[in-house]
Amino acid sequence: MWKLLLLIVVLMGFSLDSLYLRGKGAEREAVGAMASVDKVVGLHVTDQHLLNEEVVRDFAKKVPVIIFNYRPGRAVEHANKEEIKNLFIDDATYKGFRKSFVNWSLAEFDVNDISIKEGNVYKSKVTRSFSVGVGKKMWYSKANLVVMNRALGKSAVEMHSVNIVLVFRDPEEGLGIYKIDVY
Amino acid sequence: MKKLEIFKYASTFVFSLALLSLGVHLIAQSFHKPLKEVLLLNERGAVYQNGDLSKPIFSSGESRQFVFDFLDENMNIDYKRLETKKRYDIRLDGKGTREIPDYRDVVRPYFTENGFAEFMQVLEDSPMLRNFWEDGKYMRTIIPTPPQSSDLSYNEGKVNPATKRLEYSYVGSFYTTVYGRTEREVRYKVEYVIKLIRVPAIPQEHNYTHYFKPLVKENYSGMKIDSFSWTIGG
Repeated sequence: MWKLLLLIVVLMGFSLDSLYLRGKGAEREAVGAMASVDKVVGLHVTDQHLLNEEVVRDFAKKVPVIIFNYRPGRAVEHANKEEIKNLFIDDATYKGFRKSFVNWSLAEFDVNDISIKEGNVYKSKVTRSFSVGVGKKMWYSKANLVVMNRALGKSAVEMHSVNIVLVFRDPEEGLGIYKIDVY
Repeated sequence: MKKLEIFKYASTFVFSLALLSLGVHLIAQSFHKPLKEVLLLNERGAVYQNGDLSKPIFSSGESRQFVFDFLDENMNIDYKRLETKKRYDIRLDGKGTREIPDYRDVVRPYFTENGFAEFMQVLEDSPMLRNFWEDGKYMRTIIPTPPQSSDLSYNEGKVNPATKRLEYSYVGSFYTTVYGRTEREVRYKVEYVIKLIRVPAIPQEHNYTHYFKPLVKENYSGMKIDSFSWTIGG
């Protein structure tokens, strides 16, 4: 009789262990379920690029703020920053931007004597668009930028319109700028 | 008979060993806690990471944008949006009923506790709120220039040695016009000084309390307004 009791205690102990205790210290894995292809894939939760409308809106607003807050005299160092490079979807797009950005900034510094540019976005609109073969998803963003041009002893406000084409290719490359125009 | 004896002892030994191992396991569990990785997710589903509050997580432009957005979104006040202090206090006691949040609830996430008290004090003492509720007034604000660092050394932020937090200080001005039912509209030029401090980005549980957009926007930017003061001119 006592052996039966012992057996029940042991079984209960193992059940408790396997159902509760082990689960407490077990390693957890983050997965994403893809309904379209009926597949479950592992996610790298620490570096996975999350994508929803809010993220795209924030990103589109952040881009002009990060790019147009700098010293035109040090445009090369600013454009070479990893923070700026990472905004672009690929190297070719970044190089195209870098060339015109540095030329424009050096002209602002040499010709117009502007030493600091401080930009703020005051209206930003993002519209979803058809992706024309450059990525899985595409958005158009139009932002109004107020830039305070600071020079020695004087400062002046300048208005710009920044048009950006944002592209999402895949979870590895994430979201980035495909095209940026400043008017 | 002897075989039965051996089996008896063997079974007792096996059961006792199993029980003993379970006992050892439970005792060991109580002493040793296995290392567990807890992932805290913020409202957007991103992994929250506790950081050093003396290091920036945003560029100088982004912190300036934070100030600009705050003023742009919250400096248009009307007598319906902002309740009188008396009515608000009644509601805080749980006696009043109102589903739409008050202006104070909307701006509170942007401030630290001291900063919020200071901001509400300067707002309530301002000439813009004179006869505000009696005359059904409202304020409309135009911000012609972006905020600027009060001192060039503040451009990338400064670490306060006392609090070990990163701080930013901005100055700027905006124009606000106050319209009333009976009084003529009055335009004021407001020159402000705002001090931002770096705060930890606290993860929040995402509760859907709204259909289209939240009535009170949460502030997950990692910075808050610690001090707010202004000088009002005509």
